[in-house]
Amino acid sequence: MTMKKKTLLVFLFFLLAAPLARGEGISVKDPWVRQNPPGTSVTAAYMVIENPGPDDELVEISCGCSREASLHVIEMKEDSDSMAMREVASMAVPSGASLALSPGGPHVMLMGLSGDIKESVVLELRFRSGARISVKAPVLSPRAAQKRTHPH
Amino acid sequence: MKRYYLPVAALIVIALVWISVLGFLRSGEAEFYGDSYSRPAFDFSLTDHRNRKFSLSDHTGKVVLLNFGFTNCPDICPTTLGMLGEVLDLVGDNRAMAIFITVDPERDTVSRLGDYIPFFHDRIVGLTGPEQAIKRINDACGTLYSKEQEASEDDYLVIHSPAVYLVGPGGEILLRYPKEKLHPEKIADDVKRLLL
Repeated sequence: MTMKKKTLLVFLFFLLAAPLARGEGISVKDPWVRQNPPGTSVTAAYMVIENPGPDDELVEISCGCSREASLHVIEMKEDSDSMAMREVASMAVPSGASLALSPGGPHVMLMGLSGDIKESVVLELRFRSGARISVKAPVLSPRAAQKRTHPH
Repeated sequence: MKRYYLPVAALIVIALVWISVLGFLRSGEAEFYGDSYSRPAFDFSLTDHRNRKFSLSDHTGKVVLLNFGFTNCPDICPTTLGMLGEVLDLVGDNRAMAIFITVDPERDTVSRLGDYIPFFHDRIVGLTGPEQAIKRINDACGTLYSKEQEASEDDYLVIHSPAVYLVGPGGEILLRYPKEKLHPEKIADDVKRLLL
């Protein structure tokens, strides 16, 4: 390999790495996915997104494990004591704040699972700023999920 | 005058007893974690996830935690079922039971519930049955449910109550735990108290 080619590769590396470096501000903590009960092909993913940088917005999420991944918020219907989930196109992650995706709250809905999920899945997040984050989320059984959300 | 003495004294005694009983009941109510939700005793019959008939009146004397949901529900139903499983473990008394009534009987057949329910806890009972029966139970609990409009034919979600209703040993709905009160230790304490 000539010196020229090496320089070009180094240059290319930095060029490709640049968007990653820019997204360094935003981070994902404690991701996990609820193990889907037998016979079902739908579940939810949870995490905390922390943003020390400027205002940003989660605009897309995907998982190789499912046909569809969408962002959902929960709304109470005051008149009937019932609850509905509503799909949203994006979720704001304001500067210096964190966005908690948690059971019974805003969450990622995974629909059309390609099979029973085991151990862990990889979630790909894309933000308005262009930042992309890939996280490995452990798959938790109901008991493990209870421990995670209601530690004793 | 003398003949009025006894009835008057008796009335005073009865009044005092009532005042103390009411006072005791009220102080008791205040200590429950769940929201007071007195609804008259009711009964229903559905089919459980092991394909057996289930009537609420067959479980008089037990404390029943009742929850609505559907198996295609990605977030709140499995969260609540996991929580109810923990409550049953914490109470550790088989006079405590948890039932999950589907609001989607069309898709949630006995065999589907049979796959789904034991995943959460071996003592949770999944129930399905005719639409009308399920509607009546929702009415008795004072809640509504409906299929979500926008979704496609088989990928729909069902809007329903996330609350857990506590049916007392006499078959009446005594307490209600709204979504923000689905706390396993505190619900378990209420159940234990009612089973004393």
